[in-house]
Amino acid sequence: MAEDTVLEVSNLVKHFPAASGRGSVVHAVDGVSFAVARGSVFGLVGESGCGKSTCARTIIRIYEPTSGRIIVDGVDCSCMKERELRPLRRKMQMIFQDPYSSLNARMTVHDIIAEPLRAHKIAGSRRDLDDAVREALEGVGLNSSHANRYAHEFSGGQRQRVGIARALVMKPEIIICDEPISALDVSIQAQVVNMLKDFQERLGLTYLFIAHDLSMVRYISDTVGVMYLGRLVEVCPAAEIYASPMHPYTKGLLQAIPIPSVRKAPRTERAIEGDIPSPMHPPCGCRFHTRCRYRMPVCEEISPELKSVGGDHDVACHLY
Amino acid sequence: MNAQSEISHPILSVRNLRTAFETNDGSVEAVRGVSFDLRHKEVLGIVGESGSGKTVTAMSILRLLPPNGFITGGEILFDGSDLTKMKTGSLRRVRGDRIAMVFQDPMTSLNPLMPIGGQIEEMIREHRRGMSASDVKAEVLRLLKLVSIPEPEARYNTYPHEFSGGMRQRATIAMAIACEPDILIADEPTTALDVTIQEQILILLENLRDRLAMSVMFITHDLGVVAELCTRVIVMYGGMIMEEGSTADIFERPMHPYTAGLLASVPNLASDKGQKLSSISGSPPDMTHPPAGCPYSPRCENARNLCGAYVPPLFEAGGERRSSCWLLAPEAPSGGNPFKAGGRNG
Repeated sequence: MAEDTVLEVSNLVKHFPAASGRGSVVHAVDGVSFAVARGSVFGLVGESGCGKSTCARTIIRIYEPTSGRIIVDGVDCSCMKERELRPLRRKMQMIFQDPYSSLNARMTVHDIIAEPLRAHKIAGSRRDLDDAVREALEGVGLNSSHANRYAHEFSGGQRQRVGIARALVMKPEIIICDEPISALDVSIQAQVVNMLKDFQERLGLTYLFIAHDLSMVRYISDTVGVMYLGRLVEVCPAAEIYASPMHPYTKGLLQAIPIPSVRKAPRTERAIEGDIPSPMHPPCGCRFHTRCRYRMPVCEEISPELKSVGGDHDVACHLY
Repeated sequence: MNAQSEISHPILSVRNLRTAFETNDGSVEAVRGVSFDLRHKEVLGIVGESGSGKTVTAMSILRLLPPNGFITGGEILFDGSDLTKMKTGSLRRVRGDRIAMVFQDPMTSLNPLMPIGGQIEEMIREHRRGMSASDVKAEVLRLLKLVSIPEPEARYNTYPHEFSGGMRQRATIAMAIACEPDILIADEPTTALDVTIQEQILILLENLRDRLAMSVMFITHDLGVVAELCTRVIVMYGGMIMEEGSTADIFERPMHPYTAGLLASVPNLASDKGQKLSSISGSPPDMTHPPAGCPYSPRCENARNLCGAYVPPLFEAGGERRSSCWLLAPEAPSGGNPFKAGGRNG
């Protein structure tokens, strides 16, 4: 791994008690390990229920990890208390998927963006606060005339800009982007992605970028991790995920993405059949074996380890 | 009817359709003069972003508008009659029987208190009277098999909440095709599903179209799905049709700046990471106060004074292509015009 790792997750596990009761748990994240180099973008993809959002929320400690370690800038913060976490929260910010529910409807845009500064007692005077908010707003293509309005007066794309301004005003090192564009219209998605990419390059930020849209993830990320039922099945440089996917699930996922072009390569993989099994009772062995057409007897018994198949390309599959 | 005339003859014709909603802010026109034909056995894609009027167009066809929605003009010709003027009783014989619909969220079209089998039975009893109970049950099992629901006998008495999202959508499709409709209107049927499940549903719809010889109107915001499934495409924006053409023409030679912009803003799996995505600036129009002229003009790089003032007509652009852009007017100067300067549209 790269020398300058800013975020490292090792063997992260997050189980939720199941609503239906006694002792049964939802295996949302089940032993995920990866490292993110400073100034790079790590994309995490997978279908709904694969645990990608839970993973992000556990890293930023919205959820308490069941076990495993989260190391930010060399400091293990997986067992820290809320008070100890405070300095960390300044370093790590989050952008949420839904620009409607993630902004307080009763606060003005100014107050929404100023809230983290107030909470962390960063801005000294009222004037500093106003300056910081104005700067953040201008950074995301809005202006100070927007500051006194409420979130409902904005379109989805503009709201997401407010969400980004709120994250950036803290001058963080790491931003966790949890499906920041999924709720936006196609013509707005590119605006927001370009802006996120621009900030990342200009300010040298590190992103953990979560999405279900592989083409967008590949576009913005340096490294991509593919998750399935709480586990990472493949991690590799973004360019390789398209050029040479290895895991049968990654291959099927790529094939399933409808490409907006009439000139496309003929289908090589068959569609992945069946449904995603319930994370309450994940299959034994390799979790993908129930839908995999290359499955062997060993796949039902032993869970494959994520191991290198050359270079920075890691796969968890018994085929390799 | 011979094969030739079946292909050329439209099964459904929408002419200058206008649909408005009465709101607290006054009347909002969601569909503003839309005309198109749906042909026999084709899959017609209707693409647009939220608020473009694509769903309202579909809802107008079946007159399933909410109480504050009204068709204010135009006609919808189906099988020799105008659906906008049809009496409710006769319309009931068209809905479900001749024109069926599949919605985005299967949970909103399924009754949570009734087993899946019973819900499909209900559909058959309503539209195909006089079948014996055992025949109806056999027919339901056949339909469940047709939409590839595994173990149909076991699934017959299960409730919608016991189904996964993909299985629920298969069940609503089974219900929609129960009467072998002439037209299936699918409104974002795969948007709520994961990509691997979406792929399964798209393959299913394609197979069913061939087997049942239906025409499909497929409403979506996903250009990828359109390229995958549709034979012809209509691009909507601000309640109007921006462009119409074969899938190949739309994707390879877009004639409207909006279509071109939309295609450029989607990252291709093969596109280079280094290059910036080209994006469309601004945001979609506020339909309570739409622009006077072309709805896209405030965001269009090629817009001239004319564009903001007058709505362009749909210009015939050769073959089955139509595009609503002043750049395509015969009088438009070709200098600096990407659609006339040669090359792009040949």
